[in-house]
Amino acid sequence: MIQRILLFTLGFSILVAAAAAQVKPAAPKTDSVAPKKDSAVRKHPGKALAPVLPDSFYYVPQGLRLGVDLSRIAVKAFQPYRTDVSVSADYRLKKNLYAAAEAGWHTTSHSDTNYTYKGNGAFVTIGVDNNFLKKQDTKERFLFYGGVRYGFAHLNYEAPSYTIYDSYWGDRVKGSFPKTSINAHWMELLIGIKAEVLKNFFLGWNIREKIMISGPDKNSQFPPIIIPGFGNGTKGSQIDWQYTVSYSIPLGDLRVRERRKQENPPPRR
Amino acid sequence: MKQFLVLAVVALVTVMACSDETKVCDQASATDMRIRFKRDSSGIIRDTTMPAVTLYALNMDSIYRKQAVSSVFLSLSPVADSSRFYLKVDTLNTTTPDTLIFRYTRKPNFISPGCGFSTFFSLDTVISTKHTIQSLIVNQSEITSTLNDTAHITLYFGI
Repeated sequence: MIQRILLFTLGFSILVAAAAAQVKPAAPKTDSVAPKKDSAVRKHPGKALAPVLPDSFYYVPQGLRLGVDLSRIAVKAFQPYRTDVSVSADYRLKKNLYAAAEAGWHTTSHSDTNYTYKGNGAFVTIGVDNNFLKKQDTKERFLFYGGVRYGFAHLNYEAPSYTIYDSYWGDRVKGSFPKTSINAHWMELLIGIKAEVLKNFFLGWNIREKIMISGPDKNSQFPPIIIPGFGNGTKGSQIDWQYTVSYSIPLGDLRVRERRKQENPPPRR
Repeated sequence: MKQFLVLAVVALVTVMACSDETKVCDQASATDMRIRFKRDSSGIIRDTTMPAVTLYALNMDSIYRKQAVSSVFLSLSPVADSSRFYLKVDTLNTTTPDTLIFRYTRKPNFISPGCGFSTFFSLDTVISTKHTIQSLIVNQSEITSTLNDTAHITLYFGI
């Protein structure tokens, strides 16, 4: 598992570095950037002080983005015993920082000659996304982001019946496991993109590594097959993906302050 | 562009990983007990192949019938808390067969979505007659689906 975490972290770092290297920094459009005259120089005519320029401000679109994860439909096609519904939301906190959350509901239902299984539960994740894409235009809303999440799930599961076949003794052992309730906690590292394809409508995908902090007992006789929001109930970590369609409810503009850096005075001779 | 290609490949692998796990049983689900044979050979105890091993649970079919083996696998009864086995290791008429009695506890365990459940055993007592068997050691009392090289029991023969 450690090897997997290290591999993911390394891959994540390379991608972020590559993305940061490829985009050109854009000069923000400033609303009040008319620099005042150098008052510092005037007050102290004898000294060679650096010019003090005021900070600049500009506005970026603010909004609450609500989305649905369509990848769960594909998961249902591959794993018919799973039914997942997952919604996501994010809200811009700063120029490149977004508060993000997901919530969902899950059921598992499986029946074959060996056993029947029923499980259901809900999950929530909360965290932040950081956008690495430097924009050419302040109104541009494309995202190439990395993020972290804390996840929590509560689930109930049971095996109403099972049969163990023994080929030598010719016996069939039948039994059942009663309903069990457990909680699970995990962390996620993710990377993805979001593109505004129509005004306020976004399509996006991300891949994420999920690392279990605490969950079902590893020595349990009967661990859950699926943990809502996490996935396989017996793995300590796993990779998952999302494909989201989302709508951003416009909530005005967010004022971004761009600090001016004071230039260093020339060295004295 | 290159990094997006890498991401696409990772995404594809992830999609492929979403296979139906209830369809395939890709883990060992058998919980057979392994017994290894050892013999005193000129004062040195070493692994041995017994020339004609016949083994079966009493009143049941043979598991081994006059086979030359150095270890055997047997299945404990999943519906009783003890099992008795007949063991004869050669074809000589002068050799008296031994009986092995195992007392244990049982519990069901979930193996995987594809394999379902299996019975795990925990050995309490192992008793044997001493016709050809000199002694025995319980190396590992937990009999689970985990595969390893350690035999659960070692039988020492004096013949």
